[in-house]
Amino acid sequence: MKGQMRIEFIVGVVIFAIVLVFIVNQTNITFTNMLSDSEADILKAKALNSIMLLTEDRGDPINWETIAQTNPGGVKRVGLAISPFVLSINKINMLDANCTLLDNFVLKSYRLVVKNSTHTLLLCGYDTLNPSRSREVRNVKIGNDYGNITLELW
Amino acid sequence: MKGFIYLLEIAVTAILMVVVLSAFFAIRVKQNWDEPDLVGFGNNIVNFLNQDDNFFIRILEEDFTYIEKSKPVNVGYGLKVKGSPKSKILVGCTQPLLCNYIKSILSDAYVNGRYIKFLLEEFDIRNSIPNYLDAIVLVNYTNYTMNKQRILDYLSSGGMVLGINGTYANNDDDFNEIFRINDTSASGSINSFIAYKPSKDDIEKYFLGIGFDVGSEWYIWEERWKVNYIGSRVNITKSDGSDYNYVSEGEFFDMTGPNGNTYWFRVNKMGSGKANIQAIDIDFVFKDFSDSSDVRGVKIVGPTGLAASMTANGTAIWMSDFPRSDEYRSLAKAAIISRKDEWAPKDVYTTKEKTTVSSFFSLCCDMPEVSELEITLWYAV
Repeated sequence: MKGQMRIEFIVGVVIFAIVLVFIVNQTNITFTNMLSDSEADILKAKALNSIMLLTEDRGDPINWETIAQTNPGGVKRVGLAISPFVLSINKINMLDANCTLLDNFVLKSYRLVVKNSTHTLLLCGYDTLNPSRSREVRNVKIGNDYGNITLELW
Repeated sequence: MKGFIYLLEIAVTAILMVVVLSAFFAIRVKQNWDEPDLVGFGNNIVNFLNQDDNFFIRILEEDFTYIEKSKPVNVGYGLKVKGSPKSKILVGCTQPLLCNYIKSILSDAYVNGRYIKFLLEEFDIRNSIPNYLDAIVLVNYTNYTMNKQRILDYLSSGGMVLGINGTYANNDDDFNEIFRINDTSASGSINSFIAYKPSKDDIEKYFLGIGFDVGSEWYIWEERWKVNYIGSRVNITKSDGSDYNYVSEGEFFDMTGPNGNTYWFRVNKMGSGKANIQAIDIDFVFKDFSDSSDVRGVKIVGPTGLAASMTANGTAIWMSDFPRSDEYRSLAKAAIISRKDEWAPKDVYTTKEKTTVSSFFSLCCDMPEVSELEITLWYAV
């Protein structure tokens, strides 16, 4: 009778231990996934917000491409548009020469590419083979030509 | 036995804990980005199309190359236009002889940088009226009674019926019911549009917009004018030589109407041996229809008083028979076009979750033309 009690106790402890390990493991997986999903969501939201500002906003101040030549610190926000989805070649050239102006977007690892029908007009960020976790492409008009702007974040 | 129950309790508790906690572990914070992605893509498409009139005109001509090229491969789409007529209108006619006559009326219409073409197809009204026909034209037709239900069914399915009849030949209740007119009881020699109110009915807007397509001769107010193309100018001369206008593309000229008033015209476009001439005045007059009728429907054109020479009952439009002159042809074309300005260049053919994005487009400059393009998007896979 006494021996049977000990076996019951051992089996009970084993089951409890298994359940405990399962819970700890699942909790760890769950929070890791949550963190990963949350990061992916933040990246996606940031990509959507950034591409919208770049393609639909003129920037702040609106003539930031002129101001950036003498006072880069005076540029509060970069925007490439003249009107929604019509980009200014001057703004593109200025940003291409001063990619640090994108620092205000706090994008960490990113790649921004603007192309017209024949050439790459702008490349900012890391030119690596890293797979992007969020990628946004918009069709744009640049001067009399058409092209696209691609923003990738990871 | 007591020990066994103890173990059973532990096992049940463990199972319950796992089940309950599974629900907690299943929690995901990841959002569904499908809709924002589709909205972003759709917004980009409609705004991009707005950058150049030609993009939207290509959509109206059912050329979707741009959208096909720029959309992700796993995205399906449908398009709907409200406010701009179809570029190819399929018109049904009932007999070869009448089809030829209708073809002579419905020549290509040029407006706001594009041609609207009428494609004719003969059908047998005794069998059915095919739903794929955008409009049917019945000329001095007398069997309305026999085919009344077919016509009403066709109208209720979105079809358009243009009945060109002198009412004296069709003084029957079914004819009058379809077009909402009464028997002949009035007449008048000078007819005009009742009001220029595109928000109520835009036949006049299209009439002024599409103008008159002119070759080597132009019939206006039942008088023949000879048209000669000399370099970049066009010489429009009355057949008896008593009057002429010598104008270039874009220039205005005036003519005296049948009521003695002066009416202005513009050479809208010149091609090789042909021109498009627009009437400018919203009080443009018509000299004579074969008949006028009391109105129960919406009066579009008529003499002063209650009588009408053209009425609209939704998409059933009656116009009195008319003599040979180009203003009547343009009126018939305008009537059909006006009822075909809400259509789907590309149907939505999915049952999957969809997102719709729309934008307004403005075409110019022959007539005000503001239309809405709706693009419906969904993930095909």
